[in-house]
Amino acid sequence: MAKYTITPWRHHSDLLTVRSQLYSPDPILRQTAVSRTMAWKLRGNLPHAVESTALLVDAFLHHALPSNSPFSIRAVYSAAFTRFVTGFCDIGRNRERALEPSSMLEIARQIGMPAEFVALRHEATHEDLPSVQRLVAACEQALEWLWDVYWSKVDAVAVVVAKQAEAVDVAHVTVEARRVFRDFRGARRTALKKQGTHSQEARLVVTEAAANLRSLCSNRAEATETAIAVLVADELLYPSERELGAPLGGAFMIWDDLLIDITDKSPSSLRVLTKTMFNRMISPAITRTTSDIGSDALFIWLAHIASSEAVLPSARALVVSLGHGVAEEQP
Amino acid sequence: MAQKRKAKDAFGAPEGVLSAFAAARLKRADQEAAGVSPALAEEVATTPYDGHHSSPGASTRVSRGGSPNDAVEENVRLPPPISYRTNHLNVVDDDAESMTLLLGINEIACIAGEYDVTILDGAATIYGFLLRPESGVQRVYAPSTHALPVITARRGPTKVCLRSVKSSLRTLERLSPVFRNIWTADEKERSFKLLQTSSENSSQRPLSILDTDDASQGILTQIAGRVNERDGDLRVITLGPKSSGKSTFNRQICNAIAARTPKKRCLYLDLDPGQPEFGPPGQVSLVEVRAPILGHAFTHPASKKSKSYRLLVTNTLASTSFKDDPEHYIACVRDIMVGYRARVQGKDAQPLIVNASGWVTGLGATVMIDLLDVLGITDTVLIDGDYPLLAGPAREKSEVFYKLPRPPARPSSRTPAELRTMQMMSYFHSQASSVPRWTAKPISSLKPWLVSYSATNPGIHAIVSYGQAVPPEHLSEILDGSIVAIISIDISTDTTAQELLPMVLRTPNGLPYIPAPPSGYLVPLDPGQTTTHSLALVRAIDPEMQTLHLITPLSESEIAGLMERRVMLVRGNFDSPDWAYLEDLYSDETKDAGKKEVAEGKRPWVRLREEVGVEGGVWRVRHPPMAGQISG
Repeated sequence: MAKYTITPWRHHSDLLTVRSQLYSPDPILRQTAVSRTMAWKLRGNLPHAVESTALLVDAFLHHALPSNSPFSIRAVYSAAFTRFVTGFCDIGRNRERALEPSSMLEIARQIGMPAEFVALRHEATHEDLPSVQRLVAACEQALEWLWDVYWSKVDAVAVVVAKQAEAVDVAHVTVEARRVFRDFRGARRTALKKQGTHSQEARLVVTEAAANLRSLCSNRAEATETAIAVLVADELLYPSERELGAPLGGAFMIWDDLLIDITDKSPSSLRVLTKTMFNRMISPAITRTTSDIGSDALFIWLAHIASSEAVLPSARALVVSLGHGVAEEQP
Repeated sequence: MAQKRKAKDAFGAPEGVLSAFAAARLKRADQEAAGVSPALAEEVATTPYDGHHSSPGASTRVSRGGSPNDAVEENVRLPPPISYRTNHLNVVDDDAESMTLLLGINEIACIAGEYDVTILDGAATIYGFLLRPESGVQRVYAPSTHALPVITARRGPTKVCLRSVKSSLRTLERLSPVFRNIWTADEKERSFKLLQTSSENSSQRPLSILDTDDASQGILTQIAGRVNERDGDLRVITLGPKSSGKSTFNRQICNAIAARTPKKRCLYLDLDPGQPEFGPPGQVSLVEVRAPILGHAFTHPASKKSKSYRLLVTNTLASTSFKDDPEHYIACVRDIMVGYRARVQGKDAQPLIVNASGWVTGLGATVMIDLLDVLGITDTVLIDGDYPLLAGPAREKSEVFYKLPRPPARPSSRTPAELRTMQMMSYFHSQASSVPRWTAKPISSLKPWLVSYSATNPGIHAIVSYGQAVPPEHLSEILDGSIVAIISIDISTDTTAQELLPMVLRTPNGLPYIPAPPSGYLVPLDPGQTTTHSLALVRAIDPEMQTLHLITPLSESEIAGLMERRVMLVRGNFDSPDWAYLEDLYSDETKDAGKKEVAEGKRPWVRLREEVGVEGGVWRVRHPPMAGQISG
């Protein structure tokens, strides 16, 4: 069951923009980012690390204005810092759900927050406001710590999530593609036997399968590669009980139209198909006992593709060049 | 020799993910030795710090600061699961659609799910409402989110007929997990299930029974009696801490009045913006109740067209709590009371039942004491608890007061935030009609109301912010996808409009707004001069066409009527409508495509939570056991 979180920013790039603005040296950019973060706060669901960073940056901007009184400068630093520390410890304690709630220091230790942060927050709350230079140093340190704990990981999240999405897809595509190809082969055989090569029914089977494949791969290169890999690896392109050297006229009749359709709509797939066939041809897997027969069949297929200049222009050149490339890779 | 190819290379395995996790795990192993958990730090860093995101365990800890988010008082021990045996239940008739029971006097039947109940012979009470053969068919909703009402026979023998129903409310479970697993079906696929003991429930939900004990029954009878004596001139309020059964008791008062008084109707003043009885959170309203209330709040939204619960007046606070602006809250209530008094002149007196919030300490108490004067309360029900600051004045200001013991704490399977979500969803998905109806079409597929905000032909004249002011350059970003209230001023009273509307400015995107004064805070518009119509969800902002796309439960005729008035949108501190962004992702037809979109980053405001995986699992195992696991 997928778990979703809601963010106040519309796109991940918005967060990255704010990150670069908050940590930039330009005060105008920083001010914009702070103002935007506070607007995000009004939407709700703003992560505490983002809020804390903005408050601390706001304190620095407040300090930079000469018209602000020394007390107000220390007060703003203290307030930002206190909220930052208290927030992390409160949230950490809520996550804990233990019998005895831990102290702030203990929570800080668990999340890797320096103990001095907790001490300074305590002082700012219960004793005199610390001096401005101490506050400046502490807030700078806090910004660095926030970078380590949160901001530096923000890209990684996007990458991990994207990879997960793809990872799931590959397995799904493999299974689905296998199904589509097998169904196609069965249906096409039946149609060809009953109605003949150029019958409408036979043509319909091709169109349907091509559409299914298109919606499955939806123009993603990796998905298309996966589907083609299934086609070749499952040995669907030639009959299972084949003898060495037997012609593949029947297989061509079954598969030609579909392959032309696929490669027509997606030019790179011809290259992928050819390359996959070459690779499979020259390096049989250990378990295969009919390796020679399979390689033989693929060889005939490749020759067939190369000689199909009429329907697949530049196929011959492609096959030849790929063939050379593959030969060169061999020891 | 030919190289061996691995299956991975042929099929493109996701090796990037594996090695990233593996490398990270190695690094973490060192840190874990030191007791530090960077996964925890990251988790904490990404959590919002706004009082809405505490874990369930937190609410049982000490917190008596008078803040509106306070839960039940300290150290409330939950009672053991109730085992309630119903004796000699006689099932007389039992077919595919209905079941008929024969109950002796004072015997009870407890039923979960949703059903229509009719009394064929005798009399019984449910939820404080007296059912007789003349009462006709009544719809009862008993989801597992709250205590289940019981049917008690008041005369013997009583024949009760239960009929299976297929309400459109159930279809909302397609759109959100909060609506799932709360209804039931029995072995005949009927929409209700007769329970004999609490442990009979197969899906292990925490169920408890709601029954009207003698103390409550006594008070209900007294109140109904006084309504008759005073010819309807009665105003009763129930006060008590959070989760002490106030709204349940208020429902029973309404039901008792509906059954035992000649006019059979009453007026309900909904004063709790966080947990209202008849509408979405964020407003105070006056509703005319003409039918018994036989279910929890989200099962009976009020509307202008409803025959059973007619919405008379509502004023928006644009916030689920009045803590940020108590004066405006009081002004809203005052305005409603003016309307109430005009209504109940002379012979048309109708009893008023007031639903207060559970904030009985601190600022909540002070505000309520001010309100008691405005409301003119005659009867006060005080639920047992420790709130002397409010209880004292409440007793003094009312003619009669009753004391009600506190019911045992009932575990609810939904948090307050989840209940507010359910209420909002029920509101936005309800279709204006005389009987309650809901649509299970996701918000994204509902037809929006396109309204112009351009200066030349405005449908919306201004956007107003209650509460924290917003810098105009960010108004668009905040408004997009958020909830607003639709309010209007009557154009015909021209002078008032001129006084009321200060100059309207335009944001860089062209959105009209009323700027905050230098104080940084805009005083909300006078509720006496404005009318609140409904809530709306801003589905899109079109700067080129200068239109807003709004989703609202208002009917087309109501929208047409709006255009004769000066309409404004109020934004404030409504809950973020996260449920609306996620509906497509939970609905079966669209969830796979939706998930893909989210992974590719194409869905605004939504992202997949990354798998914390082993790291998170290890950390949780290491922790000491939760309080609930240790007995004694």
